[in-house]
Amino acid sequence: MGVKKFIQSVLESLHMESFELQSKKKSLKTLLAKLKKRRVKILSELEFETNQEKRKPIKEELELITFHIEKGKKKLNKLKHT
Amino acid sequence: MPKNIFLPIVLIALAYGFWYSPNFKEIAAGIAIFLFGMLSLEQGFKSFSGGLLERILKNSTDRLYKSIGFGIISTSIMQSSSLVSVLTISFLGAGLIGLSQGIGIVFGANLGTTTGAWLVAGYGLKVNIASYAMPMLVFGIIFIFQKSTSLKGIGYILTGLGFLFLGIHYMKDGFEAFKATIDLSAYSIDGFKGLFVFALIGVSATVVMQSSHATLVLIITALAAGQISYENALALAIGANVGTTITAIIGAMSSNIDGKRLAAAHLIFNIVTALIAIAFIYQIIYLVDESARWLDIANDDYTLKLAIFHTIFNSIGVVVMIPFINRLVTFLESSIKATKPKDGIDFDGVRYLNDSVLEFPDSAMAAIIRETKHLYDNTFEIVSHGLNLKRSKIVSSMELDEVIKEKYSKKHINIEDFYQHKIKDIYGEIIDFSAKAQADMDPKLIEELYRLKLANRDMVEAIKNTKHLQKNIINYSAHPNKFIKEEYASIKKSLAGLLRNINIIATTDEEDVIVLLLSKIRLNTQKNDIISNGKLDNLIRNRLITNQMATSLMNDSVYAYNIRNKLSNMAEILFVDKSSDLKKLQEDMQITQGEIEEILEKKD
Repeated sequence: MGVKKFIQSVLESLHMESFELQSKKKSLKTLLAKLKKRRVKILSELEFETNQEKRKPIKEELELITFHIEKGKKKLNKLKHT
Repeated sequence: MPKNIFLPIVLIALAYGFWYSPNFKEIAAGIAIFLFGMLSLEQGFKSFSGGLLERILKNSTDRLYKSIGFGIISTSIMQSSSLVSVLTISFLGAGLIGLSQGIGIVFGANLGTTTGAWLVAGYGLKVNIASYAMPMLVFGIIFIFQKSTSLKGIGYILTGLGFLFLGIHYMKDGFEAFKATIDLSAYSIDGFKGLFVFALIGVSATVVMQSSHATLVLIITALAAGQISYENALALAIGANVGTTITAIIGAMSSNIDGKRLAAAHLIFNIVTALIAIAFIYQIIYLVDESARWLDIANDDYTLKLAIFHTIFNSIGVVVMIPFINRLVTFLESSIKATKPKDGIDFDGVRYLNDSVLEFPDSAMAAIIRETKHLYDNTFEIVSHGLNLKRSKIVSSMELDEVIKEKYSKKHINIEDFYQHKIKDIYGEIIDFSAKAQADMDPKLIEELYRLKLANRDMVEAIKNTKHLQKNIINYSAHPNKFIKEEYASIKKSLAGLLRNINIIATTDEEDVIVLLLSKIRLNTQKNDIISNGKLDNLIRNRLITNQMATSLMNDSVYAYNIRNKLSNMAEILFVDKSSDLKKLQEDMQITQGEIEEILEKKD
């Protein structure tokens, strides 16, 4: 049995998650936090912008960031259940 | 011609020597086995260099004292200053360290190499090391036959050490037997003349053997057998120190400009150290005697005293040269320069690729990434100038409507010339280098390399599309028909926006910004495609533009779409740092074509 396989089987028998999965979850959580923070920033930018032309790209950014937050949340849920 | 006859002459001379003197044969065999051991040892360390060694090097050379420390430790462990120098040149070539850090490592390597003299003088001659060599060789060979790369590496290191010990043993025996027949000490020369003559012999011997260690072992064994005088042995050691720079010089030949500068720094350092050692030889000998007394070393133990001398004169060299490192860097940068441009457009060649990194997969990959980023810089320049935009304005915070009004030039720039001067060679070298580097890479790295090659191709395609787009974008920007003028201004604006966003992605560390902008440029690529968004149909149906204009616009919108598409593909590959969290999530967080269409549909 190779070293990697051995470690994997020990982790499985101890019901421990793989390091890869754990680090992916951690990275995703960090990214989600950053995206949420950015969303708040964009929202406040939108609030203070009165020029309709300039509001358009900000709104677009808001839509995109909301989309990514939703996507990230779904992925995180999926990872939690694997 | 001289090259062709050199080898046969050497072989004939050796054959005659073997026939004439069995002792000479034994010494020569000892040197050959020793050098073979060095090769094996290098091979062993290279097995571990696919990551660990590179990581250590990257983290331990950010300060001068660390660089020197790294040089000392790595050379002491590997017992080869040449290997450390060549590795340093490869890292410098890959742009992972700077020239002054490289010089620090080389200084340290010169100190680290003195441990070899201590090992041989203090241990190799007093103990029957051949008895250790045999088990090392047996265990080493068993490990070499194993599948695991690490075990193989250990195997090469063990056999390397085994052969080193065996080589020393043969040299020692050869000189002992030589003593009875010929007395080389009769040829010793006194005074400064002797110092220079033997220093030159030391240089030549090391250049031939390409290992100062081998020369040093030869000197110590000859000294132990009483075949050379102590003073002449010191001069030989000084010469060996200068001769060892030949390996770095050979390594730097295929390296970039900084590699060549480092090899020159190595040569300057060793020559200065040698001159100091020769000029103050009697003072240094006095210092050696005092140190020997302090260390409880017998007055007639010349082999250990030679090791002390080696350490002292190299330390003096480092201490003397440290204050001048910055001046040395300035001097090297001004005296060794890159090739001058031959015509109006500067010729730009590769900066980070050099063959000495090929054996180290992680370094080779780092070099390719850096070179691809270099290619991106040139692509950015060509695309923006091709669209008649100023780079400084694109990367500024100026409104895009204003950016497109500022013209780079009144004339069309010749994109083909720019391509020939700034892209073609670099692109070709990257592809060639990648093909060679791939041989030593694991499947994961090969996959990454494949993606990088795609990024390179995307940039070249983007430039070709810019070339097609260039003529009309400039002509129609000043056309009396306001509708066609607006359309081309819009294409120009969207491409300027794309270049700006990619520049932000390339320069930021904020992962959320990268995610957002990558999606934004993908969305804009789709949104600005006037064929799919129905804008073109509208212009034709309402007869706002002529048929000829419509054809041009249709073709050019495809070129613009291609530029956007190719550059966004490239950005996704090139600017998501492989060590960052984002890399792990890239596939999960990347916006798909379906999702883009969904977002656009919602808007409609």
